[in-house]
Amino acid sequence: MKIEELLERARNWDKLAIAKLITMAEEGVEPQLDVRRRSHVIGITGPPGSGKSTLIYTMARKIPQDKRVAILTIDPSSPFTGGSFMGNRIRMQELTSKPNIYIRSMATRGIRGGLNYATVAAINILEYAGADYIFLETVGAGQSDTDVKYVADTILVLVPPLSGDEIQALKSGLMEIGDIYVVSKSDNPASESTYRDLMAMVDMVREIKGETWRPTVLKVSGLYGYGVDELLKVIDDRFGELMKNGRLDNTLRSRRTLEMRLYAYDLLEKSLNEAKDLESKVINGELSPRDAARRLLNYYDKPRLDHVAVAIKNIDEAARKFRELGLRVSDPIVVEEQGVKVVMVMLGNTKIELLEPLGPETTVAKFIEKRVRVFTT
Amino acid sequence: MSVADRLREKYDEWVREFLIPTLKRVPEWRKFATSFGVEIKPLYTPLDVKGDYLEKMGFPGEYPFTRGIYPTMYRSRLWTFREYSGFGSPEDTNKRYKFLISQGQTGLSVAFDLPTQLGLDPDHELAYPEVGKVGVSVPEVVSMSILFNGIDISKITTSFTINATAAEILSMYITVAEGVGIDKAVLDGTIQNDILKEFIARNLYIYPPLHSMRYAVDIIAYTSRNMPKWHPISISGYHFREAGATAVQEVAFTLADAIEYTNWVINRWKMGVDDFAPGLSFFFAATTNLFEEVAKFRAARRLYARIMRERFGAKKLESMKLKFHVQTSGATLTAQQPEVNIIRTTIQALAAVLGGAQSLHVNAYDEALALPTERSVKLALRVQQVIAYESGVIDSIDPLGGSYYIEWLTDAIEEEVMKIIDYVDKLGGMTRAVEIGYPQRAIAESAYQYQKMVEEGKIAVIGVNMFREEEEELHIELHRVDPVSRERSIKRVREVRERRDREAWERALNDLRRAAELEDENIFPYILNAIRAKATVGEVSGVLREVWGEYKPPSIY
Amino acid sequence: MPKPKVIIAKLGLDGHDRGAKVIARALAEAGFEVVYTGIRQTPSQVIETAIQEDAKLIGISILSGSHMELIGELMRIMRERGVSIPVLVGGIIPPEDRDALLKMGVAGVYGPGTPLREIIDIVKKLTGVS
Repeated sequence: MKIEELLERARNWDKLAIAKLITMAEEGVEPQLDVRRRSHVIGITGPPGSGKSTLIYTMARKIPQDKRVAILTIDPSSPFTGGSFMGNRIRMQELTSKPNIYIRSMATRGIRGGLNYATVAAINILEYAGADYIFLETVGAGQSDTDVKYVADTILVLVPPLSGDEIQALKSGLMEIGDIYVVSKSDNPASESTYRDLMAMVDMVREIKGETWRPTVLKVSGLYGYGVDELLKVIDDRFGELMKNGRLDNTLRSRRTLEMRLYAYDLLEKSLNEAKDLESKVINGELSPRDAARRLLNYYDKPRLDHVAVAIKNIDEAARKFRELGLRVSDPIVVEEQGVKVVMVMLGNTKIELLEPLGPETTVAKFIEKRVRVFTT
Repeated sequence: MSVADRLREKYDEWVREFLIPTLKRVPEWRKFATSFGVEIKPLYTPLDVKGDYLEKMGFPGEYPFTRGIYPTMYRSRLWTFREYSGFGSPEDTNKRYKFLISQGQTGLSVAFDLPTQLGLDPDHELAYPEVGKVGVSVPEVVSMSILFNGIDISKITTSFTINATAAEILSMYITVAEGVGIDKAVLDGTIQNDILKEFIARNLYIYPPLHSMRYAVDIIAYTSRNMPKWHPISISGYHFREAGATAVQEVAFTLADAIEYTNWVINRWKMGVDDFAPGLSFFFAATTNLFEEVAKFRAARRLYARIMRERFGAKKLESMKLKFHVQTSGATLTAQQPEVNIIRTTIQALAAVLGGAQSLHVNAYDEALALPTERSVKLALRVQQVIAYESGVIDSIDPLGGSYYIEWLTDAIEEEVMKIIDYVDKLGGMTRAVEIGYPQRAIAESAYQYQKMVEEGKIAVIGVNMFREEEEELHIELHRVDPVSRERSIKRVREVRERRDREAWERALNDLRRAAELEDENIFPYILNAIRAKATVGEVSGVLREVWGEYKPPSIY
Repeated sequence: MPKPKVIIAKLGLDGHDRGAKVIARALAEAGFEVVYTGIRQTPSQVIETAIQEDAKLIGISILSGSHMELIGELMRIMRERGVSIPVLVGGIIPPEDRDALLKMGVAGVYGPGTPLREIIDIVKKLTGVS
């Protein structure tokens, strides 16, 4: 199926087309998508075992059937094999056959162990496909929890019933990013004290940050279904408020810069994997590890010579000669506004730009008249 | 020099002068370790057996019951020969029961099909492909009466492998008994009713853990008061082992479950431990690792007695006795060279008997391929009979007791089990541990490690990774479920629905719904009432699903 | 680049998930991205999952004896929806049913005692991983 057809079908919430587009994004294809409207992107984070999947299942089940719901669930990839055991669907499988719900498991892939560019691309695709809600379930540890704030409009932090000490430990990472705090497993008697601790903490953060949205603390049991209606209402209220004060665009902007950064990480990882010659130079002591790293990122070529422009009378003839020398030469292009025909000759880390004037009145023609000829043809 | 010191000196001398030099010439051909990863030494001596005989072993029928729960054991009464069996419609299974009894079986054990176990009537969309496949279809009380047609249920003990719908099945059994004039108080038998192990390993659960626990515990409270001979629960480690647990995990999770149920009955029904603990019964697996299994049963018995006396303050000896059924391990059966399975199950059955089991099921050799045939199940029964009547292993009580190796192994298992039980205590008990997936994960990990060891040849499986026959041809006849039985089952459930007193049925289900909503009510009498009014298993659990919801398991990696 | 995505599913009401979990984990360790659906899946749920995940292979585990009905239904819905993804079946499958399943279009049937290596190899072959 062609990408245009997939895009067309994805607009109608065709899950097969959405799935194929996400796979293509994972493989590096970047489709051009116009966003007509914003989805509410809700990041769900919290330590492993805090009940993230169960809560998403319970929420998604209660959202009216005329709303499109997408669930992206992230599992860690093995740093050794690249494989991933993706088990988050287990709790959500009952939703699989509902027409309004799309669920996709994605692996962290790559060196950082957080979100990757494909996750952001998937959010773009789902938004394009017209999702009303996009739930993004993080792995619940490390990098992904800081990444999520750049893509999500609302961050929901799940906190299982914990002791006071454990809450203190958790505070450092999660307590700055949440918009809604949920004490999960509220059927557990220990949840009451966790709730009180969180309330006190949120009040403190609220004063420091001085933001318009007041972080909310709720008690919910995904497993037994308590408190879910209230949570959904808070989520919708939050979206309304973001829309009202125009802050939805902020996440759209930060999402774009995050995608850039994540894609750059990926490119870096690829070039690291391909830099076998640099690696062997480091191993046999020819290069220091840091020098090799700088060389990998072209640090030493900065400021780098991009190309040398050479004005010439007969460009086709010159191109033929360069080809005969075994060099890679581009097809000629005409740049009307500058009055030149251009051919690029590739020289490894730099290029020669050959320019032939299109007429005698052009700048380049005049330039040639004044100077010595570089090449005789 | 004391006796122990002299022994130590002599032992060190033997290691130095005999063992090590010999090992240099003929090295050991593999590493030797228990299934839970503890190294096994070449020889055990009195030096390895710590502690006082009376405290640790005592006498059969006396605390801590290490040597057996009865003073006479098999010299007065053999274990119950109980082959787990059921397939197709109740008519088919009834015929198989009569065959088994005619061949010398002494107790019945009912296998239900998946729809019955999951509270779905046979005409339910999800049920249809599964009706009568892994067990018998018993969706309503008429089917139950056909199942026991011509069998005197006041005489024989019957065990029902039923959990998420245990109350419905027990209610049917009571109703059938009353129908032929037998009082429920004289009924003797067991319902498995162990929902925790369903969440952990067997996976036939319906409601979320807290509601499921209420359901299970309400049955225990009811039968303890009204059916003194009945075992309202069979706390099961078997399924942990089958799912991949080690012997230690099997015992540890089973006893941790026992602690959880006991706490629940005490807290929910304010009953004294001695008022219900005598009814608790247990169920374990026996693998081919003969000595480890014998030690496992002995360790479990001693640990349970300690837990009941020290942790719960039980006074009655009956409350401290670990009464258990054993099934030989299905996971050790191979589809390759299936006849070899008869040899495996014989060793496994021997482990159960040497370990002091009260009841035994021996798997048939063809169960890695299909349900057993009449021929294969008869052979399984004969295995029990050869052990009981020909082998002489029953002549003396706990004949392996006092073996240095067995006593060391018993202690080692006990020690490892206690570590896990302590950890579960820290998590807040088994219901909480299950909600976060701790035992599920631990067992999945063991299963994976086991499989890897089989792949690497570190664990031998004859016919699979050793002495495998390529192009093997199968010469055995396999059991087929008669497709007619499904239609029979569907027809009957529809007839029952049409012919019952609609008003009484509706009233019973409404009462049940109200009781389910009230947390303090015992749910069992309401289920019994609904079954008496001819409600089907699907209707009863349908009401409970509506009120309690359905369980979604956590992801296990 | 990780290897393709595969689905491992338990079809029907059967709760025996030891084999499915071991296989899922072995495939993940062999570098695949493995989506495990858990137990009690219907044929249409499995296919819907494969579509949404854009999976390249479906592995089914059944030990309850209802494989003929359930796999038949699975293959029927796949044809109906125009989805063609290779399907492997594992579990307690009597030898004569094996041929019938292959005739239905199943790509392979594996019983107890199959080495993990063999399963990983066939999955690689069917998903085009060298």
